[in-house]
Amino acid sequence: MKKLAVVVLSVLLLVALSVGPSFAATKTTITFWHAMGAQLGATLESLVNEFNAQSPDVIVKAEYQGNYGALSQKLVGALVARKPPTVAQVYGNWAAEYIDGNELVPVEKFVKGPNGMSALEVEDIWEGLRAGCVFDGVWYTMPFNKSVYVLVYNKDAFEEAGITKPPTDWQELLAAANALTIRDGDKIVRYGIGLRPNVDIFATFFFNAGGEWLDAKGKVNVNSPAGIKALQFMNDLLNKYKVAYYVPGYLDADFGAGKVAMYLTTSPGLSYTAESVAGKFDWSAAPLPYAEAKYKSTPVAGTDLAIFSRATEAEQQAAWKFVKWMVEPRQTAKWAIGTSYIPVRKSAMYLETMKNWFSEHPREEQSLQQLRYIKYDPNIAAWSTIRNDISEAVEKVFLGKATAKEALDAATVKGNGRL
Amino acid sequence: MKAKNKPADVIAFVLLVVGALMMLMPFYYMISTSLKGPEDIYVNRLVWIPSRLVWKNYVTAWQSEPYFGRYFVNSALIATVTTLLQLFTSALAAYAFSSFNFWGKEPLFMLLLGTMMIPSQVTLVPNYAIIARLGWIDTYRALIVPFAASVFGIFMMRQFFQTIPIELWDAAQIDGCSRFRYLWSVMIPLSRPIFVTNGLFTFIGGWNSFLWPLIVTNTPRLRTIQVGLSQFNQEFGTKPDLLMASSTIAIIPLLIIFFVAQNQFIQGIARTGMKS
Repeated sequence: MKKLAVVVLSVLLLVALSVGPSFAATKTTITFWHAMGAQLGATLESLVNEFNAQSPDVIVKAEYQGNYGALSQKLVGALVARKPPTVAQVYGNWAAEYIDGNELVPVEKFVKGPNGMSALEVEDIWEGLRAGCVFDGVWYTMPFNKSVYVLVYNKDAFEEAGITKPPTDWQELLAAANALTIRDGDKIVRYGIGLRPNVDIFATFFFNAGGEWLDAKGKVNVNSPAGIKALQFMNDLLNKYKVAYYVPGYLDADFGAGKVAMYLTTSPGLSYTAESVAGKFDWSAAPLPYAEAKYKSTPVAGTDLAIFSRATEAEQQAAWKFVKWMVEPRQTAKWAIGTSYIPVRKSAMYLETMKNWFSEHPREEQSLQQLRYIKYDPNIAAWSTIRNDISEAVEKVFLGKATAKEALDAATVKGNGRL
Repeated sequence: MKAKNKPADVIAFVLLVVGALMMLMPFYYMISTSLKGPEDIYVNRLVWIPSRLVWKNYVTAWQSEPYFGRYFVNSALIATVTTLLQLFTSALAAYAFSSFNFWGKEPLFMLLLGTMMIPSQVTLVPNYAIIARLGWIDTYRALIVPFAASVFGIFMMRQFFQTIPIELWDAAQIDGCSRFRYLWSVMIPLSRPIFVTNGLFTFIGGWNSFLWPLIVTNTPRLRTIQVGLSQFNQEFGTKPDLLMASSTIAIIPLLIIFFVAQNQFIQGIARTGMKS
């Protein structure tokens, strides 16, 4: 009996000794909520694993929350229940809402802190992306999965139509769309360009006509001459010249099927384009056409990383380590290569891996040329609903239920009511 | 001797066939798309019959989501348990609302029905907050308990229970039957079709639930088949072949249950025991 007790005790001691050291070096565990599925999710997962492997004191638990809609609802619920994650992907207008409720810690606090970023490092993040993360003069979030819009076009169709280069301005766009449209009697076999009735595709025209979402006084300014001009032009493509058609969903399948010869998308969509084209024809991407060269611009899409204030000081510091690491040139390059999002750091472009990747992916490289011309949505909480008002206006015009001016006037009144 | 077909029968038959074809068409298109290669999917027309059968889509779809097996088990578990719980609670509540007289019965029932008018989008965030405060996030409880009772189920059953003649209760009382015994031995057997229908609705609802399981869980361990399907439909595009292949796999359990239950519908209807 005594013997047994000795054996048991020594086993227990051994177990305690082997487990003990891992207790000694306690790591701070933080949660990271994201909405990156499929290929994007796999790339994110591998980056997080890499971070965990190299970090001596932080463990990040990345938790996939489905799409952005689910993520947003869940974040709101979690904030109400006072149980938000430590870090999450957020859109600018979500962040604005959380900041109103004092739920975020500004990254500026950490940037200027002991484990901060030098002025050079800060400069290294694209200005346009950084500016989109500033709320009332305070830098709150870190640009993360960002993309800009490009014009995707069917090269073979361009050649057949005798067009030598992608359109740079709206006149060329109209001419190209016209030449690319194939009619068979009353039926249209192929449309020049595919559009979508939403605020994002509208923005690709609105910004390139010199539009600004808000005027100097901060009022909704979508019914400005630029707004009306942009929506009128889209509507003319559709209903006057009949060289465009629109669908609410994605256009990659229609492009691959040869139903449209051009459409607008952001760079991460290009892998879907490649799949639907499946080598049937040659295609490429180009910067967005503009109304006038001085208005050349692109909307920016995607989310930023936010650190929540309900986390403890230690968790916040751990979160910052993770956020900072994620946007280091090497990591942002890996992220860009795995997902076709843009690298958020300028210096990432000089990395050998990035250079090689872009030389093999000339289409993705097109979006980089747009990085100097970024325009972003206003960082105000009401913007997510105002976006819907604008989408509604665009759809109304496409359906012929209102003129561009009527629809945008209505959206402006509605939007200003929400501010 | 063969009965002659009346013209009315012929018309009914034709209408039924047309109806059946319309109902089956999406299923057919799902299955045919699940077997298509890209050359049949990304074309400028509807392709009814794939030019070649790509069975590999099923393998690719299954393998591209390492947790599919787990998702199946979760969906089946959640759907089964919520169905049983909901039938149980609905039967009790419906029995009370149909056969008892108590103070405030009508207003209470109206209040209950009123909750059906609140869209689920409105209650999603508060419900999440409740579950989070209870500390149930990332547990099976969060996936099952909120669905243990259903107003729609209570309503449907009450309507059915009301059609059962009160004479049966009188007769049962003479035989010394208790309330529970009556519910169990008389009401429920007589209401078999409504139980099957209700159960089927609940099961399908549980099997198809997407947003709630996604929101109250954080790990793939607890997620459901619909969450698995959603990965083929991402922000920037859809993979129709893989989505359709995995959808086909996902509806097989539902089809089996439906065919089993279908038998019950007919039996249940043939079971009415009253002469009027």
